Order: sequence, then structure tokens, then C-alpha cells
Amino acid sequence: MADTPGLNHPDSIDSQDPNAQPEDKKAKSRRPANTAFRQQRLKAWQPILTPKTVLPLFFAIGIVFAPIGGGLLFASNVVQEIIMDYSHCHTDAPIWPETGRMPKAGFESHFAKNKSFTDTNPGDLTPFWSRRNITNTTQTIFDGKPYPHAMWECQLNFTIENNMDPPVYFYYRLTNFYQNHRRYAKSFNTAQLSGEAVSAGSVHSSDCDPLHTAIDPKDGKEKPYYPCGLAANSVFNDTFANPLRLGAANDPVPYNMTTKGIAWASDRELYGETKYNLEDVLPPVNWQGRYPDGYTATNKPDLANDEAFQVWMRLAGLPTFSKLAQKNTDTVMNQGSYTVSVNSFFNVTEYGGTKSIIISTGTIMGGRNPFLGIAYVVVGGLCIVLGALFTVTHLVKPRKLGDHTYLSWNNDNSHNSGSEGVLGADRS
Amino acid sequence: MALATSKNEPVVSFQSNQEGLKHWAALKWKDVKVGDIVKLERDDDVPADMVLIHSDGPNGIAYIETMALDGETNLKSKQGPPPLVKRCKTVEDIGSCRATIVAEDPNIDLYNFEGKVTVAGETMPLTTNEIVLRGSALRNTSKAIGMVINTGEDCKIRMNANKNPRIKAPAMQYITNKIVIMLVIFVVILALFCSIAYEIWSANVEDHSWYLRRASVPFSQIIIGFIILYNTLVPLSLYVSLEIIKVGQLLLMADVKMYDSTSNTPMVCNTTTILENLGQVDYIFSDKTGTLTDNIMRFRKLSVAGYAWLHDFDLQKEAAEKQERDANNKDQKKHKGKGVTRTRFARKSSSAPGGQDNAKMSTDMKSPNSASGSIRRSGSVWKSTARPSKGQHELRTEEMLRFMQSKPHSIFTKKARFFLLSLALCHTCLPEVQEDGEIEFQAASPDELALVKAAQELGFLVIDRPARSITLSYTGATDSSENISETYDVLDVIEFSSKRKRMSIIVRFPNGKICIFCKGADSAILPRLKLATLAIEKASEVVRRSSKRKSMEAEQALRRMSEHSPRQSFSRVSMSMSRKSIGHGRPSMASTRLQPIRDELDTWLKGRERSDVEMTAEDTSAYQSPRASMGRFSFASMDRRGSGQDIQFDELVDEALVLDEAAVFERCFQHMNDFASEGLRTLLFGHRFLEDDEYNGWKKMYLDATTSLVDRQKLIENAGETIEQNFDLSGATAIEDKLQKGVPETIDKLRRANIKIWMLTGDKRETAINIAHSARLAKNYSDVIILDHTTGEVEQRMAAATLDITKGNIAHSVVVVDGQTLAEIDANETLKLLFFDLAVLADSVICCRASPSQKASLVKKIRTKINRSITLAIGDGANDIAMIQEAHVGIGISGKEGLQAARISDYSIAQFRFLQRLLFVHGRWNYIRTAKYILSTFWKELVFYLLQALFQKWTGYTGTSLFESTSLTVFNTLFTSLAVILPGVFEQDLNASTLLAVPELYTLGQRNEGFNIKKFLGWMFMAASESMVIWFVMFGLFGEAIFTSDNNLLSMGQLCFTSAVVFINTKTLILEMHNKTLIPALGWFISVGGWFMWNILLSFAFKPTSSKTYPLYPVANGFLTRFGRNILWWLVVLLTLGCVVLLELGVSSIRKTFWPTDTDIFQELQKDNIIRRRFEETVRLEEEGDRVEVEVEREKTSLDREGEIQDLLDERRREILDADGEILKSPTDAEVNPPRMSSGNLTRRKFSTDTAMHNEEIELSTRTNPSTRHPVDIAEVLGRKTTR
Repeated sequence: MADTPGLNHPDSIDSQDPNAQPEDKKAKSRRPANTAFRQQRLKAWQPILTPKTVLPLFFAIGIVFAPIGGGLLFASNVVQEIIMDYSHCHTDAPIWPETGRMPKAGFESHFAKNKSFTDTNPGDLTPFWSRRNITNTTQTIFDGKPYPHAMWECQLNFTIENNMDPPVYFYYRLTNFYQNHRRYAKSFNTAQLSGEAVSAGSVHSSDCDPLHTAIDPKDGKEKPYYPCGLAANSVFNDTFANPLRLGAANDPVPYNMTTKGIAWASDRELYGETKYNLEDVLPPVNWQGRYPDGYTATNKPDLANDEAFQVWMRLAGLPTFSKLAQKNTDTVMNQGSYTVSVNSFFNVTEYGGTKSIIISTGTIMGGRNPFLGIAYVVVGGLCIVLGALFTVTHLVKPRKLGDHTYLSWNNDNSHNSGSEGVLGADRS
Repeated sequence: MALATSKNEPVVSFQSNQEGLKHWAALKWKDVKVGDIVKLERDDDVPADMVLIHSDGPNGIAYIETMALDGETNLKSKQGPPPLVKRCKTVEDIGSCRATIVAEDPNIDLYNFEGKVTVAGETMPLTTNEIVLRGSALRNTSKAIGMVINTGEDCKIRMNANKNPRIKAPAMQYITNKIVIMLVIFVVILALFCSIAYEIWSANVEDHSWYLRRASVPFSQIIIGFIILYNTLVPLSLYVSLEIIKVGQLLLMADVKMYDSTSNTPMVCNTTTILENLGQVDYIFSDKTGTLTDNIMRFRKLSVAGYAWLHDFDLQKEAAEKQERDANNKDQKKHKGKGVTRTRFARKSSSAPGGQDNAKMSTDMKSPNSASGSIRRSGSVWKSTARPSKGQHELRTEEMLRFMQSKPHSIFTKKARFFLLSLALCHTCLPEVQEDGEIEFQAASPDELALVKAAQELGFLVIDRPARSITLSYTGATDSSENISETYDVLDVIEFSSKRKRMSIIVRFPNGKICIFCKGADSAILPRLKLATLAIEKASEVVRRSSKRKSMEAEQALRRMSEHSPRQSFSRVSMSMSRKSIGHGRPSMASTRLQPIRDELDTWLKGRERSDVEMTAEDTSAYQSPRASMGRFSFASMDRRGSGQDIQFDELVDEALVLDEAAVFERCFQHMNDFASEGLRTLLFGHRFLEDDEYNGWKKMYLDATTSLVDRQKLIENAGETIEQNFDLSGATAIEDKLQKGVPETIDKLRRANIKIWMLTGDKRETAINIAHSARLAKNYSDVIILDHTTGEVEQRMAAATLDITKGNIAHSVVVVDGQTLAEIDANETLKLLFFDLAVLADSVICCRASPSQKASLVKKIRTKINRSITLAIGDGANDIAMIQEAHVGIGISGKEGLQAARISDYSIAQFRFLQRLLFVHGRWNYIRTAKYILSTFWKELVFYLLQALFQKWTGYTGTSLFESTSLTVFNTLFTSLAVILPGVFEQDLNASTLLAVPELYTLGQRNEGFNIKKFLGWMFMAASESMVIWFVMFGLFGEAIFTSDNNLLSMGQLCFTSAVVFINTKTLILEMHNKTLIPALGWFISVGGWFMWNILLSFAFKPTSSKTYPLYPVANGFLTRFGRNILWWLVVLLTLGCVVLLELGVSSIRKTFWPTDTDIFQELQKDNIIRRRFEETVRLEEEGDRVEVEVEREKTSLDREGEIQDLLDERRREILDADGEILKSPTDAEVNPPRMSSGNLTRRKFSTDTAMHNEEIELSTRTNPSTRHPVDIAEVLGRKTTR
């Protein structure tokens, strides 16, 4: 207001008004800043959710999502995989050399159609399994109790219906295994794993609880487990041999797979050559089958290079998980019958879980996963259906812009006037 | 806390030191002690309660202004106890005087005082008449000396104050706290549930798992773990960020439109705590003086010899000045208020008073053109705020003066002159000649000042008033411009008292005649008239007529409320008007399609804006006696003809009528009635010539009375009673108590917003009712229910009124109660109940003569009694402080009575009308903002932490966190704080202009629609669904798939986290925020971008070898090399986002389509340019303060234009008929067109656009016919609303 003093009109009212005096009064003016920001007059976009604005959005989402879904479905379909549940192999499978078909429920395979493929047993591709007792003398001890299961080697004979292009991945899948259990997940010692010789005392007080240290029966000293903790103790210890392709002449050709490179670089960085003296540590309870006499110079763990261990130690987030066991990144896995033998040490039946083998090809999307594509298609479709529904409603019963009949002082007035007049107008 | 410590200026206190040396010393208020002798100078504030012992005023009277104390505007005369005053004439006397003063204990009663003073064995009671209270000020008296009896907190005003002001808390906090408690319980239940689930899982799975042996978690740990995991569901940040958003809201409330440039005062917030309460006010308790009114009295009308005249010199001057100013400087803003008014006064008095100026004026009047010009212009200068639509038919007083000049010997002139003389004589004002020769008056009440000033403006200037005489100066009776000075001896003055309601003065004319002049309320004067019976009869006739009219209006109002189609014809008319006001702008296809809605809205708004049932002048005249209406008609015709020719003075006044006493009475009372209905304060004047004998006889009695020591007041009253008889009626005056700018409009709008307004004032009942009328608190047809304990039937009246209102028989009810009645009501439990039942039902309540503590207790009663209603108290003086502190929201007017109220209040504004913006715009916004903030805070926490809870099922309920811990800790602070703070600070659900134009929208806050349990549950339901969508999409698609071993918790958790962060920000900043400026966009990018930056940072920050690395969350390089590069991860994020956004959009668009709220509808409406412009226009016009005028102007022009168009059309039709008499293809057109043509703008548009458009327009306008459009009319709908 003090901006335009009436210079030309000395007798006009503004020259007498104290507020109209420029310069000297300007500093004292308490007038709020008249900026768009302070006065809340910033340019704004105020779209409104009307059928008109929402409908195109619905259709747009539908139109974008549906093709993505299609693409994903296609990508997923390209993946070929075979899944075999061998949890009960050590009890249910016929003893070698007898073989039998494994339960159908534990088998699943997806292969591209292959005309050149002719099966000896068309229609039923369920793999055969058999078991062989490899030793029944050694018993593992956990927590002072004898490990009740005998050692079995499990042989699985399965058919690859179509050539699997590299990379071919070999996973094991566990269900109902809670690697994310609050205490299990914490139960390890980083320092120890990275190679440091962590003293018994500090291991004892570490998160490794309850598997931290034990009294060595040999010398009665308290020694730390190496590696300590529940996670390391329960490492998946089934061993997989390379799949053997059973040739026509019953001459098995091995399909070589490697464990090299199955762990991530970031995993590998966590582990190092241990600085422990081998006699100062004890193998974890569950490892005593592998190290019956403790660690010796010839039989000692090499965690820095044990990629399977590293993969295991990257704990899964859900109780059902698959972990890479081995892979082949450069040879084609030809169609045909294969056999793979598994040393089944890992007990899953006790806690009601399962273990399976998955052999799969990979794409940029990862493994076979049709649901994502389906989900995209469904969401996209839903959008279009909803959009169409809205269009129909809009056409059948259109609501005019700003239709006053919807005003609240229109509809619930009778109700309102009743309650408001009386004491204690109900306000909620 | 010391009140009014701002006044730390020293007071002069008398100290006698040991040596016996006496002198005056300046002391600070805080140092004043009981027993101190304090000297006050003119205009000093009284620092403590004290006994007056000396005053320089006439007869030892000191004039005290108690406005800040009790709100009364007139000065009170106080006199020290005579025996004491006698002994305290000089300073030395005071020092040697020995007196004992016994005073009552400090108490809150402002109107009574008990005590005694003993001087030299003589004892005299002390009453309020001798006591000056702190909070008042000395006026019109150069010096007064008093002895302090109460200081500091013992002062009556401080005793009245609220000693323990309650701590104010926002109403919303109540629900928030409830919700927080609910959430706490929810968290505990959730934790308990999970713990039990863990126990079950533990028994089923864990106990059988060899790899988990001895890893089971004890119950105490698991439950504590879960409580820690979920505790953030109860957002701790809620209260912290709430403070932040409130500071933001506070900063944004510095509205330039709430800044008063005249007094250089912006709105000031003293607290951030209760900002949102501003959006929920149900009751407003307002002070009168200084809040609603300016406490400036203006002489407005007079009625003499049966003719009423409008006096608007001041307004004409202001208008002229304004015009001049506008012409001089277009950018110059208008100045209003005290400072400027003073300047104007000064200018006026420099130019107006005295003979030469009068001469100038009369020369002005001689030129017909200027006179007619003034008539024309003044036609819109003054409007009664009470009845703005009522035309002002009275002629200006200039006309009267001219008539008097031209016909100096007519009876009317004589009567008028005598009346003006009595105006100039009958008062107690003291003229004071200033240095510059101007004369200023010292008056006990602003009313008197206005009267004397009016007399001056009308030619009778009081130039001097020595002790016993009044000297007047006026122009001679003839045309001569020479001034005559005459001195009238004042023989006696019988003072005004609120009991007598009149004052009289007995003067001896220069020619020796003695005359008594009396002025007072009509009820006080009427029975004392010579023809009292006739007068009373006529008066009651007038009252009967006006009550008949009132009941008609009330009936009409009632009908309007209940009927379904109230004003078919009216809506039709306004429809055509609406086209003009709302339908301007280029007619495009899109805009024309919306035209029906625009019209309807406009009709509805117009109906609301003119909610008063206003009868036209023609209607009113029907209730007047034929003579009067005839007279009126002749005036009216005068008005019209005045524009060109000389005014025929002969027609102005009918001499026969002047002589007819009965007619004069009737018309005078009719005028008074009219004046009162316009909210003016009326005074009746009477006079009588006394014989010397009669006077002398009475004089003796009066002298005895004045000198009597016992019952003096009563004796004086009795003496007055004997002489104040058999008056002749001189005339009546009407004084306008000037309301502050925009007050009636603001009150109208507040009422439209369903806010009840109570006026609590310390002033007299009549004044209060007057102001209520002019402020439109009470309407002309209102039922005024006066509760008065003296009549003794308070209970019956209340019961009857309550019954009437509940039955719906009363269109508009106003309850008037005074402080003493209130005290009685308070004492009786049944009465109390009845009173509050009635008060709640009544449309407004006026409480007069209320002490500060009564005001406060009323506010408190309503606050506590009416469940969860929000009360707002607004006032400006020290007497309002208690009330301001007691109300939920206290508003101080930083005005003329100092800053006490403004300091203590929660918010202070400079003008009452800023309340509109404060409540409707800022209050509403703050309410919406805080509501949204709280809702979205709860919502986001639930969305996020429910993911954790869902995950627990897949971790055996062991309490493992889905989210990586560092990210988790900063979820609230870094990534979602802006998401809730920005809407909490910047959201505007509707534009300011829309909110101001449609105050009905304010009811949202009153009904707690922004934030209530239902709404909260709705949001929580959405949160739960959205959380589940995110989780299950992630779980089903990402968790179950084989992703080259990238199945660890980090990638899963971060996937959920990412979805949650993006979605939370999207919803709160984009979907929920209606006013999408650059700020929320920026906030979105900062939060979402920040989240990804954070992930990158995490990838680097965690050294693989650091002991913190957690295989469950392999953070190192996680985002950069693992899941960040996994296209599936991104696809799942996209899908979850798509799903939740879709869900959100779908739900809200369905809701908005089928169950729209008022806000939704007006959001749509304000999108329309034309409707928005209509809103803006309404607001702009009102801000400029001449809404009414402009509207009238507009209508006038449109009427003119209508006439022209009609002529044109008629011509055209005639031509058509002439040219082709048989085909007659146009009559239909012609019949359709004329009514449509009634609006100026439409017409203009028609003429400017091409013919195609023209036809389309016609077609569309046929469609706008109300009967064919919508079955329901908004007006009707709203009418129903107001029915209760």
C-alpha cells in the first residue's frame, strides 16, 4: 500500500495518511509477504476423479499391462524344467537294483514340444527311483542324541524331453524350512566365517547360541564350533553327482555340472581361510558325520571356497526356497534319459518338509514363473472390464457434473435438523 | 500474570516521606500499593481500584470510561465522598487529612461496592459512585486524585479474570487420542496373537525341527519382540510432525487479506495448538463494542412535524473524498477506521462549521443541478445494514434546510427550527476551541456528541458553554448569511440515568422565556407528553401495524422454510438474472452444456445470500395509513423528478398535516418504528415552556434534592418527575451506531455456515437489541424473547418460547437476557436447564449487562453442556479476556481498546469481518489438512507394518523383520514424512473463493466429517487391503518363483518397501491431494528418489566384511548388483503399484460417483470457469464492501436495459405483424424471447454473436426453464435445512 505515494497530489488523502508514507514506514509495515507461496496461490493442477478422467486411465493401464503379461507368459513358457521330490527316497524307494516310479505328486516337468522325441514309455514320464544303503555303521550325533537315519544313496532316473540350452541350473528346493527363523537367522559369527580366530569366550557370547562352544571330550577344554551357529550346522549336506545320460548302449555319459560360480561375489567376500588351529575348534554337531574325528589336516572345511556352503548361508526369506547347487553354463543338456544319484543325508521328514531337485534352463527373467504373466494379464483385463463397466454405468445412469441433488445439506437434512437442535448434537 | 502490563508508564503517586515533605512521584503500576494516593491526568488508565477523593471536573465530577471493564460506551460520572472531598482540596490538605476507609473484601462484582469512609467522626457509605475501578480510564476531566483500595490481582477486573485458564486442546485430538489408544490395543492384540501363533507353530514345527533345536524363543521375549516390531504402528512421529505441520499452517495463515492496512495489523497467531478448531466452530460469542461496532455514533435521521429526513453529510463527504481519491490514485487502497476518520472529521469541521460555510452550502443548494446531483448520488450512499434492500425514501436534510430557507415563516420551518434548537441545547457536551480555531466537543456519551455535531451541521453550532449558559451561533432566519450568536442560560440539568432513561435541561431563552427540553427513550417520553393518551394510542397503533407486518414476514419466512417450491416466480426472475451474472464469458459448446447447472447454482446461492424475507417498499406502505403512504408517494415521486427541474417546495411539506397533532404523532412514531427496524438508536425529544412561578416553585424543591445528603439520587429523580410533564413533541432522532465494516455480511455468512452467534455485552439492553438489528443478528420479523427478572415470569416465558420454537411456529428467534436475570437463572437448577434448552434452540442469543465473569461462565456452560461443540469467543477489551480464555478458540480484536484481549487470545485479527476468512478459509483448510495428515499418518503406518505382520506367517511367527533394519528405522523420517507433512501444510480441498462464497461448506468441520472414527476405519480398511495386495503379489510372484537364488529377505523386503514407499507417496501427494502444486510433486520426487538413492547408498555403505553384515539381508551391493538388476523384481514392483493404485482409484471414483460429498461436488463446480468466476466475483464484491450497492446498481441497469430491449422487440414484432399479418411465424419466438432478454449480458452476447449461436442460445435458454429441468430445487432443499 505504501508503494504508490501520491506525489502529484500533495493534498490528497494519502499524503496525510501515516500508512501511506513510503520509505520510512515501509520497514515497519507488518503486512504479510504478498507472494504466491505465502498467500497459497501457487499454480495448481486440480484434476477430479470423474468417470471421464478415470476411464481412460483404466483403459490405459489395461492396455499396458496385458501385453506385458503376454510377454511374460511367453518368456516363462520358454523355460524348461523338471522337478523331482525325493524327500521320501530313503524310506519309500525300492532298494537298488530294483527301481520303481516315484509318486506322481512329487514330479513336475515343463518341456517344449519335441517331435523328434520318442519315448519308450509314452504317456508316463514319471521318473524312477531307487535307494542304496551306503553305510549303516556311522551315526551322527546331534544334541547328544543319536542320528536315527541310515545313509542312503538315492538314484533318480528321469527323462529330458527336449534339449535344454545352457545355462542349465541344478537347484535343490526345500519346503517348510525356516531359514528366516529369528534366532536361526542370526545364529552365525561373521568374524569367524571371514577367517578370524575368534576366541571361545567371544563365540560363546555371540549370536551363535545355542551352538556356540562345546567341551572337547578329548581334552576337556571348551572349544568353539567352527563354523558356529544353527545356520552353519544345518547346512544342506545332500550331495549330488553329475547327471548321467543313459545312452542307448547303456553307456552313461555324464553331463558335467560345476559348483563353481554358484555363489555371488558378494557372498564370497564374506569368507576367508580360517586362522584357527584345527585342534582349537570343533566341527558343528551335524558335521560330525563328515568329520567323525574332528578336523584333521586332510579333512578340514574350506569355507572360502565352499560355494555350496556360501549359498546356504545366504539365508532364504521364505520357508520354501530353492538354492542353486550346480550349473552348466556352456553345454546343451541333450534330450534323453538321465540318472542322478544323491547322497541323502539331509533329514526333511522329521519336520514335515520336502526336498526336491530342480533342473531348469534360465532366461533373463529367471526361472519358470507363469504366474507373473498371468497376474499382469488379469490386472490388465480387470482394468478393461472395470473401465467398460464404468462406461456402461456412466452411459446408463450418468451423474451430472456437480449434481446438487447429492449435496449433504440436501439429503441428510431432515436427519440433521432433528439432532442438531437438541442438546448434544451427535458429531461422529 | 499481570494484565495490561503493557501500560508500564508511570503513574503519579503521592508520597509523604519522613520529613513531611510532600511531592508527587512517578511510579510504575507494579509499585502502586494499597493506600497510595494516585493522581490521574486526562486519558490516563486507572492503575488500581481506588476511592476518588478529588477531581477537577465540574462539581468535583470525574468522567470515567468503563468500556474495557463492562463494555458500556457512555462515560460515567463519579464523585468523591463529599466530606472527604471537602478536606482534600489541595495537596497539603491531603497530606494532613485523617480519614478511615473501610472497604469490602476483593470480589468480582463490578456493579456494587460496599464500604464506608469516616472523616472527622462523620461516616459516609462508599458505593460504586465513589469508586474508580482498574481497567477504566479518565476522560474529559483534566485531573483526578484517588486513594488505592485494591491493587494487582485484588482489583475487580482481575477478580473477574479467569484465574486458571484451561489448557486448550484441539477437538480433533480427542479422536486422535482415542484412535491412538485403539491402535495401542490393536498392537497388543496383534502381538499377542502372533505370540500365541508362535507357540502353536513352535509346538507343531519348531519342536520337530532338528535344525531349530534349542532355538525356541521364550514367550516373554517373543511378545516383547512383537511389541517392538509393531510399536511403530502407533505412529510416534504423529505428534512430532503434527507440530511441524502446525507451524507450517501458521506461517501460511499470514494472509494479506486479513491484514488491516489502516492500523497496520496483520492477523497474529499466538498458538499453534488449536489451529484446526477454527474449522469446526459451532458457536460464536461476540463482544459488541469494538468488536461489532466501531463505537462511532452518527446522526442519521430525524423526524420533525411528521416528516422524516435522512442526514448523510458525513457519508456524502466520504463518498466524495473516496471518489476524489480514486480519481487521484487508482492504486490507492481504501482507508477506513479511526485514524482516517479523524482526519475526515478535521477536514469536515474545517470546511463545514461557521456561517461562511453554511453560506457556501446554501449557495450550493441554490444551483439545482448540484442539488439534484447530490440527491442522485446520495441515493446509494446510505443503506441500513439491518434492511439493506429497503429503499431510503426520506429526503436529505439539505432539502429540509433549503425548504426552511425558502419558506422561513411556514409552521413547519418553525417547528423544525425549534427542534434543531433543542438538539443544540439539550445536552451536556462541552465545546472546546482548539488551537486552529476548530471546535471539538467533550461529551459524556458518543450519542450526545453525534447529536451536537448534527446540530452544528444543520446550522446550530454550540460555540461556548460556560458554567451556566450555552452560546449558540446560527444563521439568521432570513436568507442573510450573517450569523447570530445567542446565549441561553442553563438553569438546571437533570442528568441522564439508566433508570430515568431521559435527561432534561431547563434554559432561559434570550427573550426571557423558560423552557424545559427533554430527550430520552420513547418509553420514557411518551407518557410525559401533553397528549399522552393520544400519543400512546397512536404509538400502539403503529406497534400493532408493525407487528402485523412482522408476523406476515415471519410467516413468509416460515413458509419459505417449509414449502417445497417457495418462490417459483422469484427463482424465475433470478434465473434470468443469473444468466447475466454467471453466464457471461464466451459461449462455447462445453460451457453451454453446463449452463443449467450454473444457473441452478446461482439461483440457489442468490436465495441463500438474500435469506432475509425482504418486503419491498410498496408492500410496507400497504400497512401504513393512507395519509402516510400518500406522503411517501409524493416523496418518492419527488425523488424521481428531482433529477432535472427545480424542486417544488410547496409539495414538500403539507402544512395541514403539520398542524394535525394526531397525524404528526402517528407519523413520528411510524418513523421511529422504521428507524428502529433499520437498527438505528432512536431518541424522542419533548419540550415545554414554563411559567416563572412554576419554575421557581420547582427550583426550590430541586435545590433541596440536590443538596440532600440522604437519598439524593431518589429525590432528584422525584423532582425531575414533577417537572418533566406535559411535553410537546419536538421530534425524534435516529443515531447510527456505526458497525465495523462488513459486520452484517459476516454475520449473515456465519449464520449460513450454521454457526450460532451470541452477543455478550456489558451494554444496555436497548443498545444491544439495536445493534443486533443492524448487525442482522435479529431480523425485522424475529421473535425477540426478552427475559427480565424484574417482570418475574422468566420461567413461563422460557417455557413458552421453547415450546413455540420446537413447534416450528417461530421463523427466527432471538433470546435477550441480562446479567442480573442470568445470575438468577444460574442460581436455580430448573431455570438453568430451561434456559440452556431455549438458548440452544434460539437462532441467536443476546446477553446484555453481563460482567466479564458471566460472559466466561456462559461460554463455559455451552462448551461443557453441548457435547463437543466448538465455541469461539471474540472480543477486544479487558472485559472479554475471561471469555476468550474460556472458549475453545479465543479471538482478540487488536483494536482500539488496547491489546489486552489480542495478547491473551489465541488469534488476533484487526477486524471482525476477517473472521470469515479466518474460519471459512484458513479454519477449513487447517481442519482438512490436519485431518488428512492424521489419517494418512495412521494409514501409512498400517500399510507398512501390516506387511510385517503378514510376513510373520511365513517366518513361523518368530518375529523376524521383513525389512532391513537401517531402512526400517528411517522409513518414517526420510521416505514418508514429506508424504504426510506436505498435505498437512499445503492441501486446499476447495479454493478460497469457493469457501467464502458458499459458507455452507463450513458445516463439514462442524459435523466432524474430515476426521471421524468412520472415516478412520475406512482408511484403515483400505490400508489393510492395500497391504495385503502388496504382500501377496510379492509373495506369490516373487517369493515362490525361482529367481536364480535371489530369494533372500532383502530383495523381498525391499520390494515391499519400495512398493510401500512409492504407493504411500503417490496416494498422499497425488491421489489425495486436491491442490497439486509444484510442492507435492517435489515432495514425491524427493521421497521416492530418496528411497532409491538410499538403496544405492546402502549398497556401498555396507562393507562385506563389516560385522554388521547379515546373510538374511545381504545388503552389500544388494540393490546395485542383485535385485536392482533383476527385471522381475521391477516387474513385480510395477504390478503391485498398479494393483494398489487401481484399487485406490477404483474405490474413490466409485465413492465419488455414487456417494459424493459436498466437497466433491464443489470441487467439480469450481472447475468450471464461469462458476468459479461467479464465486470470485461474490467474494470480491463483498471485500470491497458494496455488494448490495453494486447489486442494486446492476439490477437497475438491467431494468433499464430490459425496458429498452422490450421497446426494441415490440417494435420488431409490430413490424413483423405489419409486414406479414397472416403467417405469424415469429410470435412463438417473440413470446419465448422477451423474458430471456431480460438480462443485460445475455442481450449483449446475443447482439454480438452470430445468428447460429443466437439460435442455439435460445434453444438452451428454453431448456433452462425451471419447471422442465430438475425436479428438486436447491433453494427448497436448503430451505428444508434451515427448518428445525
